[in-house]
Amino acid sequence: MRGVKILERALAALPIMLGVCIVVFLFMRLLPGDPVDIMLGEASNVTQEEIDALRSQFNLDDPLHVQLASYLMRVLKGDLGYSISRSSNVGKLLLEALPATVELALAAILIALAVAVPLGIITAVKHKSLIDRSSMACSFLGISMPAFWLGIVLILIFSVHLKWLPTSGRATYGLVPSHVTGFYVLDSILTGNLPALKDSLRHLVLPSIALGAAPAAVITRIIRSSMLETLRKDYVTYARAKGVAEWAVIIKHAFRNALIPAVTVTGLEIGGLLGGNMVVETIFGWPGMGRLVVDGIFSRDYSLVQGAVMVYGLTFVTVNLIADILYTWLNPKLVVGEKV
Amino acid sequence: MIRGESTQASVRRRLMRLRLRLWAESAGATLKRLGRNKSAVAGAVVVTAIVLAAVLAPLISPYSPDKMNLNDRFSPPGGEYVLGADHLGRDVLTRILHGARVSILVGLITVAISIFTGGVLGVLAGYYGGTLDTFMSRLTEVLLAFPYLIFAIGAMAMLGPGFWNLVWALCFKGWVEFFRLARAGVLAEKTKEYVEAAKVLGRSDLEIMGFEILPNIVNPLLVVGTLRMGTMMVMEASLSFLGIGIPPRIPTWGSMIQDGYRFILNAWWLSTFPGIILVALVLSVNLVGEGLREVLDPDLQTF
Amino acid sequence: MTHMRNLQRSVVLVPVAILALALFVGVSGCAPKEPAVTGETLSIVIDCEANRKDEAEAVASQLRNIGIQAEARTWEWSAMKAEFMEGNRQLYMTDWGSSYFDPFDLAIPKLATGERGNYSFYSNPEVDDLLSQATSATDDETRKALYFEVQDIIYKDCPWVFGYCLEETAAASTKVGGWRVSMDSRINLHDVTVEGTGTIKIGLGIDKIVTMDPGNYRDRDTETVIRNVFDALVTRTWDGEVIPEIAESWETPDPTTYVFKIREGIKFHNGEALDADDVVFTFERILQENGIGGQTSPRLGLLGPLASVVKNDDYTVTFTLENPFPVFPQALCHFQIVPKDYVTEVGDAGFAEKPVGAGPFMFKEGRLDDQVVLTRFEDYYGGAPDLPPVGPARIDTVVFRMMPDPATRVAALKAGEIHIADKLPPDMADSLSGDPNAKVESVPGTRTYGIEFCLTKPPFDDVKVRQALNHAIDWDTIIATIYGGKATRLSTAFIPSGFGYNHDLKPYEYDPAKAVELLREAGFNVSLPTE
Repeated sequence: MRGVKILERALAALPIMLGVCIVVFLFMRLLPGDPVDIMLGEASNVTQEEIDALRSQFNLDDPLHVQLASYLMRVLKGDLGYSISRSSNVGKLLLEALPATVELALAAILIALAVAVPLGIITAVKHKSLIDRSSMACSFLGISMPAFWLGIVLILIFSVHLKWLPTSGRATYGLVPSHVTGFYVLDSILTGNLPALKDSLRHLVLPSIALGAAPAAVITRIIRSSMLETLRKDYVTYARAKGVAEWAVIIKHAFRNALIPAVTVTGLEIGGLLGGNMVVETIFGWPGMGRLVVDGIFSRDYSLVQGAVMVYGLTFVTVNLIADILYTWLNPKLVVGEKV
Repeated sequence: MIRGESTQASVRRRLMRLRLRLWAESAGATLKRLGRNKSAVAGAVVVTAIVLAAVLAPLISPYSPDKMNLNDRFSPPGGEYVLGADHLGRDVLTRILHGARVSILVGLITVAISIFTGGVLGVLAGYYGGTLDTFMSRLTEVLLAFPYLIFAIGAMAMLGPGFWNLVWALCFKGWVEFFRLARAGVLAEKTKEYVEAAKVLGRSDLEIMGFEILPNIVNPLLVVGTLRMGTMMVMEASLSFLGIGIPPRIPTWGSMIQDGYRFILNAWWLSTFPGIILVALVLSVNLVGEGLREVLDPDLQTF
Repeated sequence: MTHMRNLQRSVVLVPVAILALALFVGVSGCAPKEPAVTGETLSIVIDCEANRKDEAEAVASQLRNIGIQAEARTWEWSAMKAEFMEGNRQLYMTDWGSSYFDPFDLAIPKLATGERGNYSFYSNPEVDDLLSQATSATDDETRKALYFEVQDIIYKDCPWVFGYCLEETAAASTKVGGWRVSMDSRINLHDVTVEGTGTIKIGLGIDKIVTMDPGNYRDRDTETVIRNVFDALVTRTWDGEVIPEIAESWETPDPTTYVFKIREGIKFHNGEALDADDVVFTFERILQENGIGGQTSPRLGLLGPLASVVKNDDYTVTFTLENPFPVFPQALCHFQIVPKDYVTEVGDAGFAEKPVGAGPFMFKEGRLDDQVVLTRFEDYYGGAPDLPPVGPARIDTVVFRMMPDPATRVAALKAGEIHIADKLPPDMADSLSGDPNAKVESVPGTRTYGIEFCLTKPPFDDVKVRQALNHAIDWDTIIATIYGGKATRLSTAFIPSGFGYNHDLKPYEYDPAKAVELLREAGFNVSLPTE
């Protein structure tokens, strides 16, 4: 039964993807500016014929609906088109950049959860203690520091002064693991390349802290506040009165209940991390999708941005589905279809 | 007829008076209880001070915010300029005071619009379910599937620079998060006994949503909302990092941090002072929020 | 109880609403309004991209000093361009680079009627005529005289607020020897040494390079990397003079014919010998429609009137032009020779993946938006004999890293992770001034920076207003402070590193009194600062 529901949900993603596809297609064409003009840059002796030839080469002179139809047809065949600004196939570019972005986002969310879950529990249990107050101050620090500023401060402290960690990039030259999946950490484990593993982990630390700081703060606050609320509920008082051990009350009742909003927020944050990391990628010279897509917008590289947003969309739908399944597991009263 | 009407009117008037008195009493009680919470008072003092400083900025700041003296650029703090001068020889203190106005406004307006829109739609969708819910959920999914900054960059490119354009660009997707939180809350609450009881008692949907469910789900909205105020101010900085934002003549804390971070190696004060004040404000707003939450917490009231 | 709670909750909203209202009233009362052009006060919006935000704000501040209502706005480039090309903007900061060291690709696109880069809509038949004469004239003295005349005219016409020419600035570790910043933004690594290591790491100030195929790009950044793997027929000295590289010599029997003699014994990285066939192939794949992987080369337009390339014998090639094109040798510096047999064998896509050239370094591996690694080519023919040292490169490995953020490049240089930090914004050079392990270098650049007027609409259709604004801006202070002295004031749109620059023509002087006088004559209410 549950399997069927999940399948239904997965199929329901198709219209979303179609919606995303059409919206991004129109969105890009609403932006002022012309891709061919941008590609030609400062070239001086350009004739109108040359411009027209380029426009027709990239099918930009067809009416909009024809362009959209042919784009959708090509997408269905698995062809995401040709990137004008990078003279390359969009699918290939995205496949190269996606692992970098996902790896960074996962590392960031892991760091965020590793900090937020224990801190959220402790601050709720030791409500109003010194640790509660100081962790609160820290989480506001995390959320009100722009990522680029936090990034450069981290670089200055840990790379320039202490020289512990590299300033930027994904791997040192010579320590790039051989290509299996494109995830450097995974690849170096798969190929048993320990120096490469160490190197790629070292490169991950600073950018994932810069990226994970804000989500860590949000998740801590959410866990803390929902747990505080639950800890005051009568069934918790009842459980305590029955003599249930305090840790069991905290974990089984309070924390489990706090997980529902925490999962909602974490799901949203992962979406945000995947799509909002262009600033961190720029600071840390991280070759991911964020930089690709911002550059794509600025150069009005329609196919590139369309392809990238489709990939973001797919990732988001997947994360959503996982969150859905988690909900029903956390609160069996809900059915999968009633997704949150 | 006339008698009947006047009775109705007088009942209404008396009810209104009763409500006003209740409101005044509860307001007094709330403030009194809030006054006992030390950290909330501290937070309130800081927030009030910052807001006052923002409102009075033209009167109390030592210079004009766009007064430029290029020969004084990078003057360190402590001299003629209390908090130093920036890369264009403008007084950092003055710009922080003036920047407070726009930054706070950006934070307040965007979060207010987002919470309102997202909250109302989320409660409706969660409560009624059905086609409305399906449609809204799909819409938010399509919206969420777009990376936030792509939206903002695109919107700013389309609309051009300006304060309101920035607010719209930030709100455009800001409400989605509150929609989902509200909806998730309603879904979790509406299976509970008290909602069933209210239904049996024949209370209208609007009453159940507004008076029964909303108080129980509003906390996460407020908590995330107070946090998002900081995020919105920071987002404005990210947009100016990527090269679009509001006109440079209007100082904002975000753009001050952005301008200053490039010079952090030789002039730390450019980005550090606006950074500190931004953290102080976000922290204080949350302390007040926290205090209020405790005072207003439904569970504390009933038990 | 529930009602009680909700009433209490509304208590929160009241102070928040009051604060918001107070703030809003306060801000809207003081926030600068969208200026409108009125008869009395002169109101100007100066549009710019984020990288010139500080300069725009400084300019606006100086204009406000004489009673002009001026405000700066930052835009995303393409959105701004779309707006001003519609004629919707007033005054916009733009820049334009010349790669030929000749007004051919600077003055003509910027000033000739209807040209692509003519954002100010400047149109002067006299200038058009002079420029077209200068393009086809073959005698340098004649061309120079024509360009001088153009400069005199536009100096008086003021289609822009003439600006400055920014120096190219970069920084390197003190361990790096034999390194110079080059005017044409090429990083020539052939002569460079690094103390204690054979590997040099370079932080490039870009997001990505487009391709490793020399026939398939149009931007300078890509060329920076490509020119270390590929050599061209000719190259430039540090001063911009064209000298033979793969070519041994060339002749120009008539203004439309160039005969190149190719150096013998040059090898590509795969051992293939370089001869006339490779040269002809290189140019034909660019000239031919859909010649590279089914697409037409984006470099086609750069070849100007080139009609045909013909092999005379194994080491001689004749280029025939449709009309005289005196900057042709300059253009050839940017066309790197590719191996015919190899490209035919592996195809265009395969070639871009594993490029093979005849330059000092071989492509080893890399991703175009991450890092690109090159290793020394031992059989290198040595490079241009007129540009010593000649011989194989002195270092054995080159790592180009894409580091788009300037603050990160500076930090990485300080941390010793990279040896050269390319493209340093001039105002950030200060951050390195106290560092004993770093040196900052700059050379005159090849870009002209100015502020263009929209000439088709009031108030800037009046030459007096345009001249006034040229007098009203204190460029020297702006250059000395914001650009750390690393810029040269320009008298017109021409640049000193290019051909035909009139050094005797002095830039508009900063003279607020004169500006006020001119603006009053034009009917505007302005006043000198009282301070």
